Amino acid sequence: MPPSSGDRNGSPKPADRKAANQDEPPTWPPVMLRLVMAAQPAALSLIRDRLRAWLRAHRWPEAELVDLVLAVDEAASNVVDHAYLTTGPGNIEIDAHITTVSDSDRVAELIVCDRGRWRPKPQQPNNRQRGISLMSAAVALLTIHSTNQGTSVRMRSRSVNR
Amino acid sequence: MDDKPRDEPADEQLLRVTVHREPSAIVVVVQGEVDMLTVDRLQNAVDEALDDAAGQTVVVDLTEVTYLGSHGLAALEQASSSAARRREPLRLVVDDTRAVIRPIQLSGLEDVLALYYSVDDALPR
Repeated sequence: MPPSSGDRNGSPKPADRKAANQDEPPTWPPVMLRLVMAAQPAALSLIRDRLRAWLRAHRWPEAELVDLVLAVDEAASNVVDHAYLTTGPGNIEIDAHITTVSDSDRVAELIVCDRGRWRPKPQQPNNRQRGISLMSAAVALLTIHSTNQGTSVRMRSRSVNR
Repeated sequence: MDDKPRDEPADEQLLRVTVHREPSAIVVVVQGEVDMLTVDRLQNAVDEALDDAAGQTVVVDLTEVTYLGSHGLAALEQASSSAARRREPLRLVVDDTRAVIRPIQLSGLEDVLALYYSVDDALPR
């Protein structure tokens, strides 16, 4: 994974994790997924494919996988549709990781962010609203945080069995 | 603003739309992923079918769709209301493929769209 720039710190160290869980298999499939793509419509199917493959590698239940792919695609579609209208081209950044929350449960945490500004297209005012209500129905927790530096959409899946 | 995708081939691989005529209906078969990139081809095919229908039923077979997002939902909803205005039935075929039925349920369109389980069920008798 390339070193990330900016204000990120305290990223988990795979070595610590390994030491703590000797009998877990090593780092495959990786517990984290990071995707950075140009914010264009053609990126969306790649994002969905990569997310599906990652979740399937983690034996994520298909029903929950469908919901997460839907939620992430809606968030990423919003970036393509709205984020960079006034600022010129930019990226969609997706960070996902799987966390064990108890002996029996796991959740996936997903962040979709951009460094643009969301501006609704006047000709389709309803579609973004539909996208947001789909996202919020598809995940357990949704927060959208917008500043003039960009927008980040954080989502937590419903918990699934380990 | 230029909204046209430049990479047509990728778009074609992602979504196939074919249209055939039955004695009592026009059937639009949709296969693949309906998203922001591909939704226009679904919308155009359904609009054309409604134009050609002359009162016949239009059936849209979604059983081989592998992704349906809000852009696709909006296109289906819009096509359904335009069909209703013309008094031409628009029937959507959705089996238990979760990638299709789930977004329809989550968005509350289950009660708005005319859903059938198979093309045979959707064809008028």
